[in-house]
Amino acid sequence: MKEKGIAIDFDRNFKRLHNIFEEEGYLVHDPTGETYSETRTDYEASISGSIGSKLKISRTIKPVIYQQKEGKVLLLQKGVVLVEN
Amino acid sequence: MKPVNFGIDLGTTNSLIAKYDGNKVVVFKNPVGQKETLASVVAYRPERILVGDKAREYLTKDPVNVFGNFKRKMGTDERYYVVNIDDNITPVQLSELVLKELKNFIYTGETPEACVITIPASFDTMQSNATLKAGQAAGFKEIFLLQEPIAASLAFFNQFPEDLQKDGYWLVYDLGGGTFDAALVQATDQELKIVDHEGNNFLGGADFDFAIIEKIIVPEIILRTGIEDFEEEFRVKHGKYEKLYYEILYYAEEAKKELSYSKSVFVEFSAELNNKRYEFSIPITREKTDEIFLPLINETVRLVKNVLENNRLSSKDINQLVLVGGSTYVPQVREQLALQTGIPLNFSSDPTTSIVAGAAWYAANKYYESSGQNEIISAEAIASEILSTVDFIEPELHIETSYSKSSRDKEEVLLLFCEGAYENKFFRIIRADGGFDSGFVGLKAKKTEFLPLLPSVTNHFTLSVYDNRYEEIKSLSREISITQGKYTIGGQPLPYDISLEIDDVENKTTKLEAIFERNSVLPQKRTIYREISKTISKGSKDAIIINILEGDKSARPSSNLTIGCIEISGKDLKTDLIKGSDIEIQLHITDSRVLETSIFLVMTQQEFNNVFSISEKQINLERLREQYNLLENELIQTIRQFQYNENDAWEIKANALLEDLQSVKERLFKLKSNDKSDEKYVIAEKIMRVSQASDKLGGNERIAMLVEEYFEAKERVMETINTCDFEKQEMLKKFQKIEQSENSFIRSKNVSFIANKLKQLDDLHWDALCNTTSFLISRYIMWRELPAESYKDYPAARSLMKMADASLEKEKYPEFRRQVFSLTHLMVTIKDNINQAFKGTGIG
Repeated sequence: MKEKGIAIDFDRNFKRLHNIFEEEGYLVHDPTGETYSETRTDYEASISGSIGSKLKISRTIKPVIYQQKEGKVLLLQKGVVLVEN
Repeated sequence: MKPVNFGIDLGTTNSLIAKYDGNKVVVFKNPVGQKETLASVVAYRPERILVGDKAREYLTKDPVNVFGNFKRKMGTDERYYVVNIDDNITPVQLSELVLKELKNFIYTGETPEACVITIPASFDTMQSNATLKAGQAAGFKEIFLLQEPIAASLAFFNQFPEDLQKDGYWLVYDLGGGTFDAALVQATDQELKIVDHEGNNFLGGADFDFAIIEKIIVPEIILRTGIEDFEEEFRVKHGKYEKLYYEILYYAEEAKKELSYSKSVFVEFSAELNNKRYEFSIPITREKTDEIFLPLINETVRLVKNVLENNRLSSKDINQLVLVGGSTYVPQVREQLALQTGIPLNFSSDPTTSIVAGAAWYAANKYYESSGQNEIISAEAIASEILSTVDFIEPELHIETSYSKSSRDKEEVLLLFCEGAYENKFFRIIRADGGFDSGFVGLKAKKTEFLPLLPSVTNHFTLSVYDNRYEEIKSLSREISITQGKYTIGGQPLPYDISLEIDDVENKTTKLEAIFERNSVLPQKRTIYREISKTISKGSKDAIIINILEGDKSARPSSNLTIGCIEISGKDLKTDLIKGSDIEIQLHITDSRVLETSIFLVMTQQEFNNVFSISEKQINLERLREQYNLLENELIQTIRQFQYNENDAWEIKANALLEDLQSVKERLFKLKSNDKSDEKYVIAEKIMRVSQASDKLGGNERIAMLVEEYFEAKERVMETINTCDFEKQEMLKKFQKIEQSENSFIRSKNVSFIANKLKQLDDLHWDALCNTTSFLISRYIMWRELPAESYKDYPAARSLMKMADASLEKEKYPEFRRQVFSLTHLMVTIKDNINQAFKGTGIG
């Protein structure tokens, strides 16, 4: 058993809220680090740099939010992301 | 003749489609992303054609293949050379694609043959004709054009009360995302006419955002960082601050929107500049933006005044200034217009949809000769109609699809095999929730497409096929469903429920709360939040126990196998842990069934980590003793019950179990916590076995009996509650709570679970009786006759009895009830020793 010391309060509280939303059927997805895809219509991207090579999502300003209701899934909020090489 | 009803706002930046339906206008939403607007942008990507928001993402990056703002080039001989298809396309062809995409918004299944398309008041004949051509190419047989300011006025006038004076001059002020238009409208005898207009094609909401960046954010960054050439570098195309530029642009737009209703906002972001990390929190006040927006707003006011002067009109000659376009939400726009023009403002129209709504209103009064095919048409009929328009007989096309119906991956590959005439045809796949759109992709003999999947649900896709003119061949469309994350052959399901043992303080015992249910596919991760149910002082021996068990979630904890146990005692604590404070328990079970836990005590801000391999048992001795006591007590109760019901056979078996259990009692209570032998594991195993066997006592017959008993008790409790004189609603709530869980515990077929519910019902019955006056009177008469030694303090009891007698005589029942309750507290009762000492896990 190891004590890790003081953690950042904000992060904890944020995760807790995240958890509450998930229990309510909301799926909050942070696409940071994923390969950018032009077919993914669940986020709006601003592309910086040239588009020649593989593009990655480098920052998520708003996460993607889906809601699962009565077996159906709805896109509630499109994500807003920054994309670069 | 049929009314046209459909209206389209074919905008420079965004387009919309609406329908007049009965007496209202419905604006259709994009099935992809559920927005009303469609970005007027087309992208020719290496493999596919994208129309709308996704295409816009490439607009500045790939100008040789992605096209926007083509509305401005309508009616010119401009050709765009598209590198990716090695061909030229015209603004008309691009508009055609946008119009066809808008037709996909119509969810009612109609295929409109006619529509109204709006055009700017400044469009000349060539531009108007080009718009007509695009409409025809998009499949509309008849098209009516309508000037945008008239559309805005129509939407506005149609929502007015009938008796309002409409005749005279009106000014439509349209400030959109990138353009500005001011149009003078004359209304006479129910007719509208554009008299004059002025505009600026490079003035709109985006300029307000740039002003915030240039005048507020950039100077603040320079001030904080001291980077003198920041502004210069920031403006460089593809420069080193390009990513920051897009981020700030987004924040500036959000700040502008927020300042429409609040006085000040903070723009917060972090950035790495010259290898140093900065955190920015820049305050932006309405006062400041008012100042920087003023030159932009003054330019629009100048154009409005020009229109008035050119027509020799004064502000007094104008009925109202009608505000249209998203940027008119900016408060300073409204304030300055009122101040500088003196014309009364009207902002009752929805700035985003008023033009398309006006187009639909106009469409309601336009008629066309229907070909009779606009009714509900079957897929086959549509297909044959499309085929009949083709000059030659279409050779047959067969498409086979191959994909896995369930997947554990984030995406699944779809294989398409085409036979026949697939050349110059396209397919398009859209996920039902709007999170995926493949765009138009050219068909080949063999083609693969990766479909992204949402976790743990069935993902529904629609595959549609289009001809060379992007007209859908409806007979070839099909549904594709792929389930993600659920049980598949390849997945490893959990063989048992994994639960956390928590306190059931009311019944002075513990119960299980399922964390991962049986058959969930590994790996699994979950965080749960609970309250500490007892105070633990710093340095004390008292502890909270996080006991993770495997087995049947509806059984009693002792029937489950402990697979992980963490004990946090007062000695581990930095400060006292107060009852009611929060505990966060994070559990992760890997593919190979390694359980990882992380516990965080919010109050003391301490985190404890533990990784268990399930092969290694963790046992807390004190908790084991408590489990023993609870089980022993329960078995004794069960034996009494069997004796009462004269179930001899079951009684013998229960006695044998009790004996078996008691065989370890002495060893268990002598065992020291630092004992190195495997004794405690042997005892734990024994307790678990007895507990499981005790659940099986009497088999299905006993379960049936308990269920029957439960239903009888339920009826009895309901009857008593109905005759309650006090707290009836409270009692009913408790009753409903038990009833709600009825299905799950009866289905569990678990004796201890059903017995526990039965006990809850009995307790409720007792509570209900204690809230019934007649019952209280009968009990009181009985208790009054009890000898003095039955009370802890007899003189006090006597005085209470006197008061109760008086209340009873005067029929003051609420007082009487209170007094009888007080009397019960003075009675000597034989308490259950085991339950009195209940310590539990400390987690509620």
